[in-house]
Amino acid sequence: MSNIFYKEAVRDALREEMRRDERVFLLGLDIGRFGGTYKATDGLVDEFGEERVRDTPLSEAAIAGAAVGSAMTGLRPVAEIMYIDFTTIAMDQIVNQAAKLRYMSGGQAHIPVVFRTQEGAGRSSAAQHAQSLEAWFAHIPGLKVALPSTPFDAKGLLKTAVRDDGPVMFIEHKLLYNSRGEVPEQEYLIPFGQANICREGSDVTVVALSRMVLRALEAAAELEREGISVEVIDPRTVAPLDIETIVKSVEKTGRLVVAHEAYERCGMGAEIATQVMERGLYFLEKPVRRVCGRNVPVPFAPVMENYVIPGAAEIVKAVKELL
Amino acid sequence: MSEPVNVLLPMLGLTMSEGAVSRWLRDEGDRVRKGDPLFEVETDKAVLDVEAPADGVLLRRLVFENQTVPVGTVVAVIGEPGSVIAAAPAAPPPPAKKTVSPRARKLAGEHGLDWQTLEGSGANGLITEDDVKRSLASSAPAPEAPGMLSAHRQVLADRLSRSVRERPHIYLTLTVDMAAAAAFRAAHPEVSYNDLFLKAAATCLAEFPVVNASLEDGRLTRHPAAHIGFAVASGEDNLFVPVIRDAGAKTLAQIAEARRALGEKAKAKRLTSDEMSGGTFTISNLGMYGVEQFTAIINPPESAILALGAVRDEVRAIDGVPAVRPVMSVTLAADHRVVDGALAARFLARFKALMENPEALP
Amino acid sequence: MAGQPVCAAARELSAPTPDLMRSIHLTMVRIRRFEERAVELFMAQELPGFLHSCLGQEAVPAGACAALRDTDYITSTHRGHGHVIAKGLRLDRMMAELYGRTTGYCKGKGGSMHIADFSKGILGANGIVGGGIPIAAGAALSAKMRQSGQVSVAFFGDGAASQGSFHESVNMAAVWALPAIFVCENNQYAVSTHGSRQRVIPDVAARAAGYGIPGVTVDGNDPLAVYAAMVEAVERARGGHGPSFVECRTYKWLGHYVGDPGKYRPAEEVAQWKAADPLPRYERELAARGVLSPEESELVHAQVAREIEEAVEFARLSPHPKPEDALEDVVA
Repeated sequence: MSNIFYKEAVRDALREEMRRDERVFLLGLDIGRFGGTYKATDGLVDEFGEERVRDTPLSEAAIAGAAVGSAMTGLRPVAEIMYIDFTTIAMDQIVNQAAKLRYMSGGQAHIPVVFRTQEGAGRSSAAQHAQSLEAWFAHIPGLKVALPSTPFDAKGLLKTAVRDDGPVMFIEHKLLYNSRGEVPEQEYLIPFGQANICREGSDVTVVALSRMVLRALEAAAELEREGISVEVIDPRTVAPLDIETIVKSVEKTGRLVVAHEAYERCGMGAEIATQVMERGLYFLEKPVRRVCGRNVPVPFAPVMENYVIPGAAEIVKAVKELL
Repeated sequence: MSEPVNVLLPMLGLTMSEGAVSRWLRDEGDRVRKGDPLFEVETDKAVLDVEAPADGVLLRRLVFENQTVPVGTVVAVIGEPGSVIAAAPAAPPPPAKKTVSPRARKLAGEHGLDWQTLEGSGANGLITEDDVKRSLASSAPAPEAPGMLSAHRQVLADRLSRSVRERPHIYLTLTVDMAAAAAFRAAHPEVSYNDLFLKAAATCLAEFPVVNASLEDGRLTRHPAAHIGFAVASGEDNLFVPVIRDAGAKTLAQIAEARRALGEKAKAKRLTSDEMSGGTFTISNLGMYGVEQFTAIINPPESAILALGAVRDEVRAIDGVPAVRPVMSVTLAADHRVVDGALAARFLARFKALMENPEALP
Repeated sequence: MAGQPVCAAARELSAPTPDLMRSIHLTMVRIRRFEERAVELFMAQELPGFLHSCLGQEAVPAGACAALRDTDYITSTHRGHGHVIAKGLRLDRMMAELYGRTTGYCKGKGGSMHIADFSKGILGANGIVGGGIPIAAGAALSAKMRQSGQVSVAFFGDGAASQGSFHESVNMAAVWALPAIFVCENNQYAVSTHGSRQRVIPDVAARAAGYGIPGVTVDGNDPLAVYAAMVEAVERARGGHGPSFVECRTYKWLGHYVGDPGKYRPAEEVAQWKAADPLPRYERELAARGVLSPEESELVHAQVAREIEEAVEFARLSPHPKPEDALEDVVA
């Protein structure tokens, strides 16, 4: 095992997959010499060259489209969209083309493309650089969506994403790049649709996404000191979503909190709560609680940003309200 | 038109002195029409709908479900909104509708516990999982509410107590050889043992009319026809006694048909008042539960009741030689004020003779 | 460099053989008859959805695809029947796709606007205006990285040239010197918007200079002019010299979709272009050059008429998909 940064886990996954399969290549803004805005591709151009680690012009639609076109014709591109907020410019290629061409062509098209991006708030990036938009992509049939919360998950999930034969939205978190974690030396993959029970508990289930997983674990530790036992689940992928694990946990605890940074309205919390209601209404002792970003654009000033984006304290409060 | 109308708890049956609304069918504020079912009342015999006596809005529900009140109590008021209600409520206003968490409801259901009978400790009286667990843990049998029987049970309890108190019971038992009856059944599959019992009993009642009489308030009434009730269990908690009218005048086939029809209605709790009243004699059969012999309590105002046990194989002496025979114990309970011992014995012996020779049944 | 017409000499330089010229003719007749029949069937309500007819524009795909190999890539548009027929698709399976049957190229899942056959390098007609351009650039990127020698052609209309995706893709292709050819069928209208309200410059090809790539404007109703321009562009691309822009001036006879009366176009304008029908014009040229006599041309028409009827028959008799088939092919 080695203790490495999340950004290193991403880079190692890319490196290993590029060594393994020469069809894998990277494209995006500033990923070559510059090593990527968050240094996730640092050094890769030295090993693989500029053909396979391509700096692109500032053109998200063309980046995404080039990825789609090259994926359809024999290559396995990993396209980086610098901020998930910029996927808006590439939406047609991601949603109307990548997600649908296989279906519309009656199964002819293979589009093994990974769109790597990052999301999240917490460093005053303001409204257009701090969103969490996984719900948009989870909504689209044909797309898979992964959000790793640890270096271990990042590496295992990214390798799976590259080897997947369909389009994958791989969403990292800007404030997790410099988080550390244990990663095995030997190769491993994490399958999609397999949630991780990060912490076992018996009183309340907390399902959290991306960086909120860490907040949930902090909250759980604090609650344990008060004798409250919290089970923390990280779905790791929201499409496909491992609802079975979540429902099983709710069967045990009867109480569910869903936590994500994304805006509360129509976020993944709504989908998870509904699926739990559909499959496990009679396990619930109380209504499902959502601890989410408020329904406002993310503000710039730290005091406001902290108000809008939930943290461990909000999760603790929600858990207590359910008891 | 705008005078509010009081809705009273009606007397359903000559012996009913008190009762309860077992289920409200309409809510306060609902507009109702004359004739709309307003609430249900459970008697010992059936669940009956009580209709709204007038058009208007159900302004007040003055009793809550399963709260026993005397017959004639004002249980609801119908009128137009804003009208003044002259009658003071006879009971506290109904409490807010109970809520229960899905988890608690499921747990209660799994244990056959009616969550509606619990008090909730959650917010706004929510019945929680813990409430259900506590209720299950305390091994007291599930009460309807502390100290209260259901209306149905209450009525039954009173009648049984009164019967035992007022009627000195004598009990006579003998054993009937059922071989002939079994053979008869094999030859006539549409006829059940119960039908044979009913027919035999009807025949005996015709031959011993005093057993078919009733003594009430010092007056003995002899009934010309034998209307025989047979006890039917419905669900966990309910015992109904539909009556086969004039069983003596019916053929075995007619008795079979009547018994089947009434039995089904009883199980569905859909017997009418008529179908459950006017009995002059009752048969109770616990044979299907394996009970060999028991004594029953006479159903007032009747004077006797026949209790039948299970048909079982026994070794008996037949012409001095041991043989295995199917036999059944029969116990007659009779009101000793009306029926003396010898008469009861002859009645029972005649029943046995008929059952041991069913071909002879008229 | 901007919008140079291709002169007669250049046409000859591309040296189309008589066989090729006849093959181009056959393609044009197939496209013409297929489109006519499709319109008839659509108006008779046999075809669900929408139909975007390329009647009048046949010369562009016929001339352009004649310069391509089977293994080269194309992306097409919502008005793509001509492109895919010219690239080699069978009329019967195309018709079946229009009818929404399982025997269609896309098993009935795509319909007219999304016909695809990856075995023929057809990466799909696209329902999003400009949606196919970045994909074509991507295919060109792939070809270059694999050093396969393939080229990638993006067909699009003059309206698509206003899309951001056009700008981004052409620029990227230029920066990376991708083996791409951007073919703009300028039929002068985007739905009801005339080209003069779509751009200030008269020819779309003028933009090519802005990306540093060669651009030509040709008479899109002259299949050999289109062919000539394409041959040159393909040579550039295959030779590793990067992308080119080929603008083909043409006109569509029907409105945006079948059923659109096209009142936004002056009647005389439509009449004028119809009178300059590219098919008889080409037939006259072929006759004059002794490549195809009128009688031989008749035979071609008759042959294609039979092909069309067989295609319709095939489509009509083909099975409908099961409703549950809708749930398949979503993920790999």
